[in-house]
Amino acid sequence: MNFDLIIVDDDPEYIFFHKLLAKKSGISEDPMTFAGGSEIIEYLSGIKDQDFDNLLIFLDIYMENIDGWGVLDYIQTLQCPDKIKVVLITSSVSMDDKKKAIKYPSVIEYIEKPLMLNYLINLKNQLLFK
Amino acid sequence: MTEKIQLKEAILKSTIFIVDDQIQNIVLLENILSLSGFKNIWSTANPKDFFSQLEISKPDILLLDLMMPEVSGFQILEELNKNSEIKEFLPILVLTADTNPKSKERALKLGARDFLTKPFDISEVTLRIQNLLTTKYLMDQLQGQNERLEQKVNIRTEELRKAKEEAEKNEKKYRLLFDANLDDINLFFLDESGPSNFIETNPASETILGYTKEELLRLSVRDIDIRINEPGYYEENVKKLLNQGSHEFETIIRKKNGELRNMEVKANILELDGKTAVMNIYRDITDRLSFINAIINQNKALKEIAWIQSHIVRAPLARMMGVIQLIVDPEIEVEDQEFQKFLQIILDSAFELDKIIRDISDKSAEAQRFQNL
Repeated sequence: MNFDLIIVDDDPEYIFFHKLLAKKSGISEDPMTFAGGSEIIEYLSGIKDQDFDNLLIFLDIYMENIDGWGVLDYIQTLQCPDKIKVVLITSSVSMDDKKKAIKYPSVIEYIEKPLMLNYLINLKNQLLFK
Repeated sequence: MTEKIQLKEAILKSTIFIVDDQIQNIVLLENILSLSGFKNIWSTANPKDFFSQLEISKPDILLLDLMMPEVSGFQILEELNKNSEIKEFLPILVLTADTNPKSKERALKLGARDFLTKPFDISEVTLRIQNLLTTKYLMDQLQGQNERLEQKVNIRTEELRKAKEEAEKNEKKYRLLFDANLDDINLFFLDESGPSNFIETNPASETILGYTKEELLRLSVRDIDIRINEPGYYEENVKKLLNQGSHEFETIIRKKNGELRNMEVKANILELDGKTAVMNIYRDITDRLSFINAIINQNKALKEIAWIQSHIVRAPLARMMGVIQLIVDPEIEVEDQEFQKFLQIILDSAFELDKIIRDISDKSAEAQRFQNL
């Protein structure tokens, strides 16, 4: 895989579950995990000279403090859509959320929980990053 | 000219009765009258026949001899006076050789109109008869006209009576509607200087505004409507009212006890004593508004419940779905340690769901509380 996987969710059981699926699908052996928006933003802003490796982020929307929208807004400011791609994974079934999500260039998918193994296997076979 | 001809023809058609015991007098009179053009002449030498003839036809004039042997002219005059049925004007011309003023006076008192003294003068006979008949004709005309007039007056009087009755009935009906109305109805005049004091009000004002009629008639809308001091409020509402003839709006009224109440006002323009007047119907909508607020609050609470259902409920549910999917998929190998963890996730999610449902039930109870307000 030519990218690192990051999982962001404030629910530790989802972290466990999504990590397990990532392993079983072969998409990532050891993804990084963050329990909230502020944590992932802190991590991204700490990367020297914004010299990112390719990053795929599984991002939850509804979280305490900074939510998924806040994280997307931050990624927007980094202006590197080729390097950071986001799959929103949320328990929200709201049409409004879906409409709002596709306006972000970094968002490549909007998934209503639960995340399925087959989806990740398909994703693995796509060329996400050039 | 035509009227004169009409009159002459009518007179010549008149029925003339002659009662005289001397047949030569009758013959003479009949001859004179025939020559003058009269056709309807009935005569008798026997006074008794006169009364039976009266039952058959009525004369326009009676030529009556006073001096008759069996029944005298005086007796006939007295009899005619007694007979109350002959109400119409019947001119009686008395024929007499007696020039005694006393007997003339007696005959006049008994209803005689005029005298012909024997022996007859031909032109005098014609003239006097024609005069009396003319008078009789005109009297009849006058009476007919009076009768028609009286009839008209009676009809008109009856119409007026009915109209008055109808108006009284309507007045009663509208008064009842006015008095029994649960909305407060107030009337006042309106001119350039603004609203006058109230000039009329119904008993509902006591419940709705707290003022008795006597108290209210000393006040105007300026004293009870607290929005009247808002800039443009009075001008705009009066403008709309005058343009449309009626206007509805909402305002706040200070009751006599100082309490403020929301009112719906239906204003109507009407004309009263030639002046522009306004009829304001006040309905207290304070309770209605508080019900609406209660419903809005209830909706808010229900919306919150709906949001919780879609977002919060789905989180543990999706977790369970995802994990169970892993367990049931035959192609996925699940280690014992993982399987234990899966069961734990399912159980945790189930408890979480249970708690959410309990919260929803609490929230619903809270929403119910608004309903009971």
